[in-house]
Amino acid sequence: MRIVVASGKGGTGKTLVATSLSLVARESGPVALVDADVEAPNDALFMHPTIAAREPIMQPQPVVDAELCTHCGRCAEVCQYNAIASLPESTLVFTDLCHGCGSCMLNCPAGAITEEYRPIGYLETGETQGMRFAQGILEVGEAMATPVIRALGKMASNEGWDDEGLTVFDAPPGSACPVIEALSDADLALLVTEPTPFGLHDLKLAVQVARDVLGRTVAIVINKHGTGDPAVEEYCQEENLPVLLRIPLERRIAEAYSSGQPLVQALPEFEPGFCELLDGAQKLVAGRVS
Amino acid sequence: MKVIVSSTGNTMEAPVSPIFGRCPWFALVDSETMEGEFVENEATKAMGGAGVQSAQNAARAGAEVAISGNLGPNASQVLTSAGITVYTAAGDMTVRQAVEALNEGKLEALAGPNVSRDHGKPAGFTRGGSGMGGGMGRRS
Repeated sequence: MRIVVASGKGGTGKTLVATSLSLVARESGPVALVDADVEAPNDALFMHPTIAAREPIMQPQPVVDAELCTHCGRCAEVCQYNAIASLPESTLVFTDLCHGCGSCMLNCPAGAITEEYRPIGYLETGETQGMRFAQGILEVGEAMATPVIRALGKMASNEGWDDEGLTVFDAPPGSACPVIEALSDADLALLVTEPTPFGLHDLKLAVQVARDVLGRTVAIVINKHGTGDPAVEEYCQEENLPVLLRIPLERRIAEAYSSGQPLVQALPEFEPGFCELLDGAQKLVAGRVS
Repeated sequence: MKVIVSSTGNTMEAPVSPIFGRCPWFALVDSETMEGEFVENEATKAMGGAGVQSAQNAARAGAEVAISGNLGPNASQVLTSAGITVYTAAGDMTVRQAVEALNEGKLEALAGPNVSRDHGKPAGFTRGGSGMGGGMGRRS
């Protein structure tokens, strides 16, 4: 089973939920914690993994042979990302706009385009506290997080982590391409939000993406609960979104978190709540399958 | 000489657009006859690369000189590669006044981009999406 921890809004507590959820899940079978927040992977700061392997993520990009190019403009016409400018006497490729889809190469009537690969990030794998650990790291200056997230997801599938046990997949914030990629093999989208107008606004976007566009089963965690704003609870009720855990707004939680400790290890009284979260998640997924 | 002008409208009396890649209209003006041909800019709808597309279209339309309020880095690179010199025009100038000023040698040529990437991109096009408080705004 793969639980993807996503949020919409940044800073709601994805890492807090992903780390503690993976720790309590160890009792029920093999667990893998995958940090797919590749622009700012933070799970390692709490979990102190031993990294055993590191491999580069290679991204294709077009290279135009100036001798063969007839400047017909077909490559620029088929590029959905405007990454190629076909000028009367030259062809320019903008690698930071290129998604590496290969359309230009396939459509070039002169066969003037080939692909070359360059590293845009890294995939690290290892182990921590009796569980598997993996993280993606996007190189500073690179714009495309999606290929790194895709590589992480494929690795978890190919290694059989989802089938053998539980994969907790810590997604990046937002509701665009990287999050859609992170949700691609999710059995459950666990959306972490906070009871503020910002939290609600971005939660709605995340629900639209995860449930309405991608058709994923969605459940909610409300972090910083008890601020007095009832709008998130009301929205979840209206939309029939199960709230599986409420983490109170308490100074000691923030202090434990700031000192780099996973919540359930710093404050074990929160362990039962996370066990209920896991139980609720498993029931939702089982209910959907049967 | 064919001059491409980023325009806010489809007449010679429309003000010059302050943005290049995502301006609503392009005017292709013959600087001798002062006749203008107006093309709606499809790149306004692009998620990214509007400057690349607009600049390429300008070059393919045969423009030798461009006039715009501002110019971003990608458009600048494409126009430079195509050998097109870019001049800046003040926002209160119409397309006609800008081309006349060019003819009189009163416009200043741009040495390179004068605004950053995504300068003319509307807020709704901003990718990624973290709200306030998270402190983790990012581009996807």
